[in-house]
Amino acid sequence: MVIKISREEVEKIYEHAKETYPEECCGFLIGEIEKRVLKTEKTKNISLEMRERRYLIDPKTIYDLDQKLEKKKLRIIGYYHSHPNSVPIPSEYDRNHAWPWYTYIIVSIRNKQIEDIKSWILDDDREKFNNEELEIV
Amino acid sequence: MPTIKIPTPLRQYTDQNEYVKANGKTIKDVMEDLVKKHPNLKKHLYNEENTLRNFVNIYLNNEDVRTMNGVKTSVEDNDVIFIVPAVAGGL
Repeated sequence: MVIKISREEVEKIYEHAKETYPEECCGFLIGEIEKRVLKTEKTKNISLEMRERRYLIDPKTIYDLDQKLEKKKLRIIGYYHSHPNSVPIPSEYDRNHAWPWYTYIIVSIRNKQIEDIKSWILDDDREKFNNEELEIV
Repeated sequence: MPTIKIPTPLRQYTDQNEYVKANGKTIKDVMEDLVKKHPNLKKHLYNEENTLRNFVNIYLNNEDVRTMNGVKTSVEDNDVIFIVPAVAGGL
């Protein structure tokens, strides 16, 4: 599987990761169809603990955005978050909290410098994440 | 029969239907009937203890049922139930 995203949107994710460093950032991947990100939208990490290792998106924010996007024939096709001072590989915690179908983009950032970006999708049996090729167009 | 709005990632388990109907007088009953009708939804909505995963949020008529009576909240035939995926993760 290949997921397409523009350089401009990738840069927005990088900026967000730098802005919240050393805490995790998180946001939405928005599109019309699967596997093509038309835009990203940053959101607040509402985790109350260990925000340098955890992110949580307010379900009400998801609900409201979903309602809003539906009117424009758009939808949430995935999420992004950062792994400060770590690799862009999903953790066990990520897997336990993941949903199928969504694309999960992870950015690794160290000393406020972006190191890597990778995209993942949960296996249908929830046992593992599979890497998706990220095509920056 | 109440209607349930299925979030995009789970529509692959409801034959791509966005809205499905399930029987029940409470959220708990409706959700149980939903996974009975669409068994592949179960592993994504329920944990091994057979209770709803804590990152599954249920909204009834625009309100989180946790602010009402939780899964014991009563539902009417014309109600629309939204399954809202909570999203979390980290290291």
